[in-house]
Amino acid sequence: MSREVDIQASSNNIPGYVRLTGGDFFNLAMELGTASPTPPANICRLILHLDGHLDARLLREAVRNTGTEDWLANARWSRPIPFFIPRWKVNGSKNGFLIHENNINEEGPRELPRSVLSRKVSPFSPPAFAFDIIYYPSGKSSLVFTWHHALMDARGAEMLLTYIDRLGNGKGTGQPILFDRPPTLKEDVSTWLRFLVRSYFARKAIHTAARYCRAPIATIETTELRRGKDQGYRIFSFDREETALIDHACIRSVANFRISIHYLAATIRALDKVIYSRGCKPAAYVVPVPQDTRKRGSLGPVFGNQITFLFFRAEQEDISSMNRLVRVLVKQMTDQIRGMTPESFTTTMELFRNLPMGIFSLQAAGPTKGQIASLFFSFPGETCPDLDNFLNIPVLEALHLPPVSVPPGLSIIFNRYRGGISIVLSFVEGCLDPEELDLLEVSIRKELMNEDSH
Amino acid sequence: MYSIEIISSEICDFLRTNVLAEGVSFDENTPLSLLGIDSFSIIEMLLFIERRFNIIVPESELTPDNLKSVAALARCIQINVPGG
Repeated sequence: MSREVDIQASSNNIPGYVRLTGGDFFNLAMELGTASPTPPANICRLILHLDGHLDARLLREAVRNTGTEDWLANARWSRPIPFFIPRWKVNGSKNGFLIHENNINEEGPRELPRSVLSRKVSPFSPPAFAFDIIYYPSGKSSLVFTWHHALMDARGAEMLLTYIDRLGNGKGTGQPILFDRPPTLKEDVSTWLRFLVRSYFARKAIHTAARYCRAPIATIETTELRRGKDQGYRIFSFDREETALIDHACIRSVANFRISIHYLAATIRALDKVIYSRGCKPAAYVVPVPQDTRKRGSLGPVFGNQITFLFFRAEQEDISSMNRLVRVLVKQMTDQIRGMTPESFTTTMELFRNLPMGIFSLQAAGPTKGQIASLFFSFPGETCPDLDNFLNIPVLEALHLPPVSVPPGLSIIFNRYRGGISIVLSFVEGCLDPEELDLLEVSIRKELMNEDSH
Repeated sequence: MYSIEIISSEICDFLRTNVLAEGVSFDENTPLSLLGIDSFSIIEMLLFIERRFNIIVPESELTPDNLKSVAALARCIQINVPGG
């Protein structure tokens, strides 16, 4: 059952438009250029499981206090003049955004109703954001914040919910930076010199990406998937004790303090078991891993993708043991940081904003015919680290449900909340059968514990 | 040979300028985990040490204890790393 509560939009010193960040443009271009129209690619969800009843009116008031409701209701893509940087703008309409209330009869906080899972948000026809509250018979509830990835990244969503909570509680933790710094319109010789330097770094980044993404790339995708299916997901967790064991396994392994590499290596080896079980021809695994470019401890920007990428490539022979794979990935990570590759990707994404999206898609995905990754992998660090309660209700769990697109048809995210890990496998239904999902889960568990490796 | 104080001070400056947001207060004894320093930032920090002091910290020295804070890392470099 679903009921809609209308929220009237208003503006409180929020700009009428902002320029897309390079990350925003990348997300849009990749979606338009390579993904199938269904399932809805690039739709993200942040779920808070709450130990009590979340009142929609209270949430509405709290959102109003942030002054962001016009953006949440009406933000859309626009390019005012060809070859100028596209913008996010609010269209000035009085559309309010919607909070959807859902009552379900069964307890099962990890089973999202289909109505929530199929919630439509779009950067081209607003809204690009939505709130769902799910009420359970036990009196608990879940808040599901859905947004289009082109407008916000995972950390931005966490910051927004934290901001809503603080203002809803009247805690007043200081004004966050909602948007990136406003652009300067000054065009002089130094601007063009900077442009030339940036072009050099952009070429370097494109060269690096092409080197990492060369075909053939291992994938779970089959051609029929491009026609589109629904999104499926599986969540499995490790309690604090199990998570401590995984941390310990990581530290005593070659990965050492590089916990994200430990997670990634375990994931690649587990996926390889699934692909091997299909009898597919061996191929390399390519995984772009997003990296938050905000400084640690910052209050923003909340809106706009502030991400860059590290690229990882594992040949078949590298996957033969966990230690060998970790060594390869650690070297790739260090080499890219040393070579300032993430900064070069940021520059590239920013430079391409002036061009038609098709050109960017062609550059990014052309050499591999759209196949740019074996899977999408993400570990955004501690999930909602400052959110023990949401509007005075204890938070039992916070997790991200990642977007999934075709190709590659599979996204995996590692969430950590209060000392426990929750892994979400998000996939295009039909690309993994139940036995393969079981194999993937069991293998990831074993690899994380280093039980079945070396 | 650099003193622990010099190594600590320069690492703190690096973190303040390149890694941490403006206004984040910390000193050499603040646990890095409390500052949100992840493995990406630790590698950036180690590469800075490599550039600035011409020192490569061996993998065996990158223990949880030595990566607890800037002071712990500086102490480890000064005591265990040739040239530190």
